[in-house]
Amino acid sequence: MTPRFQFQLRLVPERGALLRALALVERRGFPVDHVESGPSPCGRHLDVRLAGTEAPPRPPEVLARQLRRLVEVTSVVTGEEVDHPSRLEVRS
Amino acid sequence: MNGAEVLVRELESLGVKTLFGYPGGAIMPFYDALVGSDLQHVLVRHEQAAALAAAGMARVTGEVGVCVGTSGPGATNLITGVADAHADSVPLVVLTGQVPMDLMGTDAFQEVDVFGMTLGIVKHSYVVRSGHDLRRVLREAFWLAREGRPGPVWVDLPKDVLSGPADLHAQDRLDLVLRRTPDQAASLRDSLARAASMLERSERPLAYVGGGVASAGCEEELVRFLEEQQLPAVTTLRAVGSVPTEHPMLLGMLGMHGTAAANEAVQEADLLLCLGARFDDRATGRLERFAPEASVIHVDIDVAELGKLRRPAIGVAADLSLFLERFRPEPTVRRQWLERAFGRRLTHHPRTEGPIHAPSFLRDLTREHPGATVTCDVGQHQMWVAQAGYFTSARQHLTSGGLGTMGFSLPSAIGAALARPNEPCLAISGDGSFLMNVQELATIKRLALPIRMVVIDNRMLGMVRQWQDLFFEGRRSQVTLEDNPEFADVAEAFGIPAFELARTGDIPAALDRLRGARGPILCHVRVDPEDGAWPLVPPGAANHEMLEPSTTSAR
Repeated sequence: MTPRFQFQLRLVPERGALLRALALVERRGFPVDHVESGPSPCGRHLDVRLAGTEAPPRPPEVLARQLRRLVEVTSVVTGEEVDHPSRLEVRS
Repeated sequence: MNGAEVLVRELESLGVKTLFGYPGGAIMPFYDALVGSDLQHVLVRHEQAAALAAAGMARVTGEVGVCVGTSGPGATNLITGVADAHADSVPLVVLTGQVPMDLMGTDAFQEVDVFGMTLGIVKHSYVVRSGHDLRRVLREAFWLAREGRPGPVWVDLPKDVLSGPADLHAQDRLDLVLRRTPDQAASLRDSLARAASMLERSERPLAYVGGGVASAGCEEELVRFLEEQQLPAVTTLRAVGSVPTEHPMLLGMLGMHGTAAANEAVQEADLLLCLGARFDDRATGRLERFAPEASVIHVDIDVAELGKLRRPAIGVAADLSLFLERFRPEPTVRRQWLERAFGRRLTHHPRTEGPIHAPSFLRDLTREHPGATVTCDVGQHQMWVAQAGYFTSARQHLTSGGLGTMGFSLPSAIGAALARPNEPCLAISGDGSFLMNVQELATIKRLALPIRMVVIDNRMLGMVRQWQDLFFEGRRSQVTLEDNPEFADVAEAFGIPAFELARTGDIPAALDRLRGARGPILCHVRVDPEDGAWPLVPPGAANHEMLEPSTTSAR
């Protein structure tokens, strides 16, 4: 089964931050399957799960580094969801 | 004070001397506040030129360039220049007017969602919603534009923020600076010894030098390092000049129009020391066949470049000047490798009769102007300048490397000439590119800028023609520019002296005339439309599979 990559972001709660992060994921060629966001103690969290139907165009670690460059992004955790959402292998 | 007045005061206090722009409705409060300020505003004739001129100034100085436009079409016209700065990592702050906040989102007159439209071409962007944020936003924008890998930062300014109350003494917010200051020492500590050991053990090492070297301002350190290590080097298009043209360790530019010596050395190297380059497709050719025998040490200030296209054995996220200061491998002489690599360097044989041979002319032109800033447009002439031009610094060679923006040359020359008023400036264009920002002749004339413009005219979109001949079975489609105007007449219509050069024998006199010019001057050079930019690596090929005129059957 194709693993589904997941990114957990922490954002400074600035206007436009969500749009900028999501646009980057799509623009870099990673199809988004599921998005969840809301306030968090550190500002705002954004969880992005990529579609598992096709292999990502480049290593997801590269995308994680590109996300970390965004001014509003304070942290990025990547994980690989193998066959069940609860089995998330986290790599920071 | 209103927002616009705070903005002007803050620009002054940030050390800005010159900005480039074009006024219009939503940005009018800013232009009103400019009256009586110390800022030099250069009124261009199209916003695209404002962005390219500001970036031209930034490319020469390394300081942040500033451009200004109004909302709507003013903003959209700026976009190409901003994308160009983004592609080449040029520090730029872009200020645009926006419709008042209560009209935003209503499809108001001259409203565009510039924030959304520019997400992919800026390092960061702001829509300022309170005059009290202006000072902080502007300070952050300037800091971000320069920090790490430079790039453009866009500040969108609703008209009511510009005309409403603002606070000149609002506090800076330092958390952004603290949050984004990486621990370079850790990256260096972990990798320097391993990288030194790799280089020492390598039998065929090669430095692959990119635009990051000029951005980091460490060209002298690089040259010293190459000499100490006896390390041959190839450069990207953006890095042409980082190693002086005639330096004994230079093999030339690599990539699609690179030298045979550079491309073949890359293919044979067993170690690539990549310094501030990004494995761009024009440099690598077919990526999976690029430097197939080489391990890679990749050094870049932008950690996101490490492993983006080629996985390095060692990736170092650090400022290049810091890296070169601390990287001290034991020098090793590799005589056989040097003889092999440098044995392929070709001697230049200029054409002395027949139609003007543009590369030879451009070589002579740049040699006759040592120290000059040279701006290029995009196409065959751009490659000829990169291949044949004479440079001692990359900041002398302004070229649109990443985006390939036709129309780049004239506006960037305006910025360069203002930045270096005591040095000559050559603006080299093709006939296609020249007409893309020809309106800036008015700006050049008004400011009496001593720009020596050279239009290489083959009455053709030459690079497209060459590709159609090579890869589209010779079907020439929409490339003929037989209806070009007389470029000398065009320049003279703007009040700029001009002359034509059509024969090889007249080149010395033309060079004398250009060199002796005190103000702007234009030289219209007629060249053979069938001349090509060679060598050429076809799309999808490896870099050593270069085409030369003798190996092709172009019509």
